[in-house]
Amino acid sequence: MTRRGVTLLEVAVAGAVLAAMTVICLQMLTASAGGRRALGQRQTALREATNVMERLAARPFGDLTPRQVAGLKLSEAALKQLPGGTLEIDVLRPDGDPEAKRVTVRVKWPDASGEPAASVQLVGWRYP
Amino acid sequence: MNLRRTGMTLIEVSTAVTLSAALMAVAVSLLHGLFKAERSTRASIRENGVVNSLADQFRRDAHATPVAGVSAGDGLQFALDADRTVSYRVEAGEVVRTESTGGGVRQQSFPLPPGTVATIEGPGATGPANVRLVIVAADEAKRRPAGPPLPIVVEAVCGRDHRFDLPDDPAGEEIDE
Repeated sequence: MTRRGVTLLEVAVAGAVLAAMTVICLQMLTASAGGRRALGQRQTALREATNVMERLAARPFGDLTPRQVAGLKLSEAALKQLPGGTLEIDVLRPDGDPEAKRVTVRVKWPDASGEPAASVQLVGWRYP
Repeated sequence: MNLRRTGMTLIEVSTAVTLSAALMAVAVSLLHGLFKAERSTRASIRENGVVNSLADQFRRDAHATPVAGVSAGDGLQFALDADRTVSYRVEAGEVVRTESTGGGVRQQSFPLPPGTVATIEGPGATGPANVRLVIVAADEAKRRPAGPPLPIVVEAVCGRDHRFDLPDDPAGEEIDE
């Protein structure tokens, strides 16, 4: 007696291999799209942080205090690209150099899952 | 004579050929899409690099120019010092930087990402010494889906490198090199 056709096991194995390949392909595509989006957000955040630092650098030295920079916020355009993003600015007088001010500009934003995942930080020094 | 049929029927063969042709079509279109995505990623990385170098150059020129040396009108002119001026002009699809020194004129053009347009704002719009370069979407149809997120705002403060200049003093002592 000759067997005609394929056994159930053969079909099942072929189906499983095909399904695995499809899943791998889709995962790679999703990861690549997510990576591209994250890259765009990082660029936006970095540009925004640079602009904030630029504005802070233009302030008179005396106007650079934690209280006076507390009101600064992300621009509308940046918020549109970084939904839920926040801007943090620290102004410290380091112990070693009491004349100087150490300015830290930090832009944080949540990733697709809503976790506060990514941030960009710039540090600058000001002297009177 | 053995009458048992061996081999495959015409229907089996044609089914197999159709299936493999369909599979091949899917694979080819997938590869085509992948190559397209790869090209577009490469292009947007290049465009982003151009925008970044334009932003760097714009900030460097602004920082090196005394506040009094900036003038707007047909773009933006920076008079860095007595014999060195730099001007930025927006043309179709690009920003052109022209640097004139005693030795000659050098032009450099920064192509903008497709479907975008740039504006250059002189001092006064956001601060007495602030100049801005803004890149916004102009033509959504020409934009690459994976193009850079817009708008791109480049702020610069003129005279940053001159903050520590001493007031002009003809009798001031020369600094030994």
